[in-house]
Amino acid sequence: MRLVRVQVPEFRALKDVDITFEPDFYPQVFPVGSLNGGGKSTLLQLIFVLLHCSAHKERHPFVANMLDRVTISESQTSSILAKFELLEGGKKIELEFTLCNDGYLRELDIDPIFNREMVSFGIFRRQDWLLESLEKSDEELEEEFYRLLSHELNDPESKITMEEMESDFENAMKEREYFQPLIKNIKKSLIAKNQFCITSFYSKQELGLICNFSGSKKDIKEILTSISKRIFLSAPSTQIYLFLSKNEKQQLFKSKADPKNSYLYQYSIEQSKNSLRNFLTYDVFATDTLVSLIETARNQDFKTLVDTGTNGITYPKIIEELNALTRDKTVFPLLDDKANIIGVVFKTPEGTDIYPEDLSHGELKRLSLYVWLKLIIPQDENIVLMDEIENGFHLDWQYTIVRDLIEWGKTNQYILATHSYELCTALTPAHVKEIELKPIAK
Amino acid sequence: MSLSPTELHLHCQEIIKLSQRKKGIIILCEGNINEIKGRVERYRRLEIFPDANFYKACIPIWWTEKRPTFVPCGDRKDVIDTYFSLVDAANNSDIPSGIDKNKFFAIIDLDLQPHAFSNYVVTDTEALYSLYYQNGKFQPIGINQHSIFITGLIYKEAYFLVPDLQPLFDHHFTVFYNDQPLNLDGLYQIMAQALSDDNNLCTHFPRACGRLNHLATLDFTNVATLQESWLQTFLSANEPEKSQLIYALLTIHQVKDYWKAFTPKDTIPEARFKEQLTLAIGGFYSRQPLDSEHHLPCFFKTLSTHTL
Repeated sequence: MRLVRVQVPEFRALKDVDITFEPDFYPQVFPVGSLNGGGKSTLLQLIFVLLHCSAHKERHPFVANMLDRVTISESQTSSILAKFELLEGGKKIELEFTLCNDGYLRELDIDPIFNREMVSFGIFRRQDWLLESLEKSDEELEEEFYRLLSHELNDPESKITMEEMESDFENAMKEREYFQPLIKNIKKSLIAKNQFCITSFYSKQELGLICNFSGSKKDIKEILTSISKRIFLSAPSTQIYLFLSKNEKQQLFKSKADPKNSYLYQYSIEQSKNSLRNFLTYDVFATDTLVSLIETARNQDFKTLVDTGTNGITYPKIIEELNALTRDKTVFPLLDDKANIIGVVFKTPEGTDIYPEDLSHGELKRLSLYVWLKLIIPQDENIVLMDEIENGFHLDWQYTIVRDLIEWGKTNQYILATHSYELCTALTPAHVKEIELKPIAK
Repeated sequence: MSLSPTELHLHCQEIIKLSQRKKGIIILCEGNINEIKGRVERYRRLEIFPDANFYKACIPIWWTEKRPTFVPCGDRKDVIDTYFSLVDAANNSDIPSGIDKNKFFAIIDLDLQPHAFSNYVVTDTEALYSLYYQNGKFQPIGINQHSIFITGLIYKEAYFLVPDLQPLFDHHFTVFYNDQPLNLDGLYQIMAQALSDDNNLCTHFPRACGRLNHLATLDFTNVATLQESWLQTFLSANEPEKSQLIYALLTIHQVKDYWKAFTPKDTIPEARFKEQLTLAIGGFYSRQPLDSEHHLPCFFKTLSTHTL
């Protein structure tokens, strides 16, 4: 998978962004620069959220958070948010994410039996259950209801009565009876235009995010699911993540005198990772994964010894690679009494033991990136978005990180938001992309 | 067009400031002078891949700290002038200038046209070449006596055509020459056949012969006999001898035009393709083992022994 082109007409600090990442360039590493406030981080987060979250309902709240402040002018019914051109297996996929208001839906070819005033993104947003129930028959829903009812009745803490539940269910079924054909009708009209409603949300007005697609005969959900698995984002944990809720973002700006405030923001980031599987903050170092890597290499070499009578080379190779990641330290596995590997320790040239948590910021970051790219991310054609990768690296490492990234994930495409001139010199000027500053409104 | 005295002075001031910021050594090299430090957006606007970045890409992967900084200074004369101006600035400063002349090195391209040194341990660039290379191989001479290096092949582009690069041209980049996939062995023969038409070689033939006199099978009577003897020997040569002949050719015959004729298979613009290929060739040299005989890794190995 390659991201070939991204266009963002206007979103927050971004204005008329149109960047091409040439698929025939070598290496597939593209620094993206701009002055402070130019929107580099916003662009990476927008790309990640749209491509990683669209196919998965449980990630849609992140999309809504990201689009928190968007509006469409009254004279319009839709506005293009972002356009992507991707390559998958040599085939071009074009996706256009458009923000639409109710007026857009009302212009669709909807059966006149429906009241136009009822045609609104609100019905998508208000009735998640309605959407889910589209796939089910009345009998299945009744069965589900009675199961739930029995569960509630057996719960001594339940405050809802059986009559209330039956009444709610009856109302929901009536609503469904009316809205189900309407929603089906809207979806059919969208599909006829090669469009798919990703989600709907409220941002000063009822809005929906619609995806137009072309270039593939596959089902749009299948395409978006496939893309979502291949797009990754890594960034510093102190970054403002626009895909978090307003309350969560505000924690970052509250007084640090109360340690709870900074903890809450970090907690929100960690919580988001439960849903955003392809999201990494640089501070995370997976010791367990490293232990598992060393153990696997040791076992593999032992098997080679049993099979061939000669020692394997996997273990020394892994140790050599790990040694190269720190400035001057040597990696040793920590063993228990039965020679199980239970951790890792780094020895300084003076012989002092250093534990992973004691490494320098830059060393820890290199290790965490190594573990993430080489061991956690599947070795595939992924699109890896990295924000401020140079932070914590001295100038030499800012240059060599480009080579490291290629080495650790050879088949990936990397898009790096950066201020580092040194990093760019590891590539050709044509690799470097720029986001122009949005003109200041008078 | 060489640097004017004012330009030279300003350029040296920039390099001095740079040397005070950088921990490693500073190597002056040929290439267009662009800004020494800058912003991402300015790098993007450079129309061509800076020559200095090729050398930077060649820095061995084992050199992880205090990596050298390459600074383009213009043409060969500019590099030499800049080097001596920096040394003078360090020597002549009445007040402690903070300039450490031990930090400065230079690398210049070998040419058939020599450049005379007015006040250096060797008389000219040809003598410098003889000092660093014997029988075509790099000699690790005492770095404290010599801070000006010279390439062992004629211009840096010759390093883009060495035989070990064939796999890179076959697999990672599909390179075409005269609309055919590039075959370096074939290209060397094309180059040899053009020796008689190389005016620069004809003018400086005795100097060229001086570089190759370790090759007993070649006939140095004139350019035509050299051409003929090279071709004949090459066709029947075994592997080590063949390699010597190729390196001999790349030491005397200008290769820039051949390099210019390389084309990509894909739709990528030719200039972009060349830049990326240059970067990949730099990567090839950076991954050579410590005992490599390739000139550039030997050069870095020698430099790495210098302590500041």
